[in-house]
Amino acid sequence: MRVRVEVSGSDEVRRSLARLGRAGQEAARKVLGAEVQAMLPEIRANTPVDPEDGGQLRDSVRATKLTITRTGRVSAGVVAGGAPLRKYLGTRKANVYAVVQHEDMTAKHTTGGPKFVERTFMRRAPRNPAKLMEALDREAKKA
Amino acid sequence: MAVEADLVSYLDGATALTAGTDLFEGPVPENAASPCVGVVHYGSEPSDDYTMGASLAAPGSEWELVQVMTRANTRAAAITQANALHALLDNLQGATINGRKYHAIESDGPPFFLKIDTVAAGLRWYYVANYRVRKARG
Repeated sequence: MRVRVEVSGSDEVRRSLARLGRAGQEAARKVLGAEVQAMLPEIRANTPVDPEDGGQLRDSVRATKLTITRTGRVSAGVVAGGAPLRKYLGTRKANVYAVVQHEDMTAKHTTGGPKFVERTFMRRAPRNPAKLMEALDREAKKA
Repeated sequence: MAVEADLVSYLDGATALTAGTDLFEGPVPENAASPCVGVVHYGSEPSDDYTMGASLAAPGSEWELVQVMTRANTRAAAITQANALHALLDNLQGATINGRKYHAIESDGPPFFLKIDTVAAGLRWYYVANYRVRKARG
């Protein structure tokens, strides 16, 4: 299961990114990378843990590799489930398990709860344009 | 939560579903008969719509995150119901529900299969869709 947040609609940020070229992309990558790393402990703390020998889903929460496309799109994300769960789930699909845990509002958990990735992302994402602008301003001063 | 009550009220009026019988605020109750629908307000985002004004003045609008869960005894019934609700919610603009302004409701995508469980009466199929709601405070 993968949650992505795209920072869009902020013309000022996009103009600054374009103006600074490669330096702008690198600054954005640093800001988003730090932000994703800061989210991981909170996401793990909110991930459901099976009271009977659980914790594999929580331990599978990880950041994706930061990428910058040729068109300048900077991408950062968090993944839960997938390959690290395969050996624990038998015939069940690893990604389906993570999606059900993330989306099922009727499930009762003793630790963590549904929307464990999305809640953290959506709470923090709106602050990213301001942090990006600060980083871009610093790069502009260097130039 | 107001958004749950408002959307239940809206769907009650726009479909054959009945609030409190097969349409619920919050997760679908375990013991409710299927088919049924639950509307869950599961998250909120910081408002981007504050303006200069008096202390404690509400922002022009606020963001709330809602999941609509459909449960039915057959896959086809669950899909049909979930899609019918999706058509009534996705891209809803400028509606007034229970006297409150709903500027926009946008989905994260069409309803998708979540899970099956089994009770004495047989299988139950669950489909969900998530929505971002921009609305007036309340």
